[in-house]
Amino acid sequence: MKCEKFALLLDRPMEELSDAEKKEMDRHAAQCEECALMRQVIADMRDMDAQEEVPEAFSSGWRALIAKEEQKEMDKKIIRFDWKRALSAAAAVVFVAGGTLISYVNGWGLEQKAENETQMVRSYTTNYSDSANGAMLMKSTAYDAGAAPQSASAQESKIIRTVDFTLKTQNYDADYEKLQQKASEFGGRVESLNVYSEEGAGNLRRANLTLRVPAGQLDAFVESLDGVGTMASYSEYTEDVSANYYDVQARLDTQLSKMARLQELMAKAETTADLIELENAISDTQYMIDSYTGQLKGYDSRINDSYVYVTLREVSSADAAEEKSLPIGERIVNALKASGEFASDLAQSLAVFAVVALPWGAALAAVVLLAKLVRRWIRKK
Amino acid sequence: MKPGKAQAFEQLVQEHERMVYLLCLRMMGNREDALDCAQEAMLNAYQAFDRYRGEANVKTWLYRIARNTCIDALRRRKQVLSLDTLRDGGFDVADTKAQTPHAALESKERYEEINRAVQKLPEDQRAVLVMRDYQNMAYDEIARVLDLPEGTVKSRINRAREKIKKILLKNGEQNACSSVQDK
Repeated sequence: MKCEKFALLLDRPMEELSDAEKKEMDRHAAQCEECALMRQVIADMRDMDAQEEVPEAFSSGWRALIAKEEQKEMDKKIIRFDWKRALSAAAAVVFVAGGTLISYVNGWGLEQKAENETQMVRSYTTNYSDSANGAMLMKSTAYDAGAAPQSASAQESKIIRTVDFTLKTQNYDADYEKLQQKASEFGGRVESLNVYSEEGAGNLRRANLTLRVPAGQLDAFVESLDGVGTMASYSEYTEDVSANYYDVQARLDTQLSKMARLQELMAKAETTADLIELENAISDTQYMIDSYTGQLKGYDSRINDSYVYVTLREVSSADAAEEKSLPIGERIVNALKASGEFASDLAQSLAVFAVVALPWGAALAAVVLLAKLVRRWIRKK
Repeated sequence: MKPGKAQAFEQLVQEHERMVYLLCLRMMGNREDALDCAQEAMLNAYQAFDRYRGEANVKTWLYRIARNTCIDALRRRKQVLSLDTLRDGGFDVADTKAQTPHAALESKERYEEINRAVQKLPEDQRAVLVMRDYQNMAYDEIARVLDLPEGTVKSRINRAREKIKKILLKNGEQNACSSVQDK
């Protein structure tokens, strides 16, 4: 037997070997010391493991370790609430929701539109005024060329405020009284009144009042009407007549100056022809003065006492109840409409905020990146 | 985490715990390190238990983890075992009084000589030798544990045995010389 064959047999488990193979191995081992050594070594190795006792410390140790690990995992599961992440998420939610709400409430992006609309209205008003006064304006400008008219911005604005609202009431008489009483309380007066009954509607009454309320008291007057019927509609108009007002005033001043000069000339007139011509001129000038004065008075009246157009409508108790309790279907439709409009507004506000927040988000990302880089650099050091 | 995970794990691995310990003992060369390493291996196996889908035999899976834990521990240790360490492990080499290479392997001392020789093997050869010759594992099983072809396992074992033989023969000759000098 050669050593290679011995090695092959040695590699097989003893119990698998035949008696003849075992004898053959014995014979070879008796002649080859190295093979005998390896047979002894492998046998010893197997004996060693058979004799080795596993320490109790191992058996109990690993069981204790995994029990501890299991407990740790359970604790982790309980305390898995990651405060860091939760806070970050809450901050993000507050940021986005807050931003959207601010955008919604403040109407970001709407200011520009409103401003544009105002400019358009102003522009329209100016054009209208210019065309209305036409040649007169040009004439006036020619007369006043030497004068230094006060700039419009430095002058007091002349604003005409007009309010129009409808009140519904079941206590017509009481509310009608209250309305007039409130108007007089705030220094106002009834300028015109039209009362009539609506035939075929249970003779329900309606009153159309035109009130004049001092402009300074207008807001207080409207607020004081809380409790007088139910406000069914409300409109308010504001007209800036500053340009027209000061224009008329300037023309009046010119005419007054002209009148003074004409009267001086009248005193010095020597011929009848001169006198006749001057009298005509004075007459025309006086006409203009009266006209302009009238216009200014009209403006002052409308500026100082606002027009308040009130419709006081009597309603039956059945109408009132119907208005209060709409059919369920209609209520659902109304609610859905309102909800849809709200959601649409909110979505728009979110989109606006997302755009508004972009530069801030970029700045924040840059700061976080910088902080991370600095941290890494410090750690490396 | 599954309920009673530790219990399920224990039931699955308890029949292999002895072999895990012995593998660690032969790989690490001393009982103290073996204990630490075997416990670490069991903990590693427990932590990997969630990912164990039963695609591998439990013994194969567990052995692979134990073997990798030993390799990691040996790399961490990064030192050749000193004689003191071996002595602490129960391998007393000072009293070796072998007269011839063969005679030197005649008692408990033989075991110590063998274990010391095994510690001198490279880690990859040591692992296959321990599994094959100490633990009598089949080649295909070792191949699965180590994720190696069977042929590679066989050749590693042959190389390991050759090395062991050389080391033991050399030690035997040295002991014989020192014994003659003592006389």
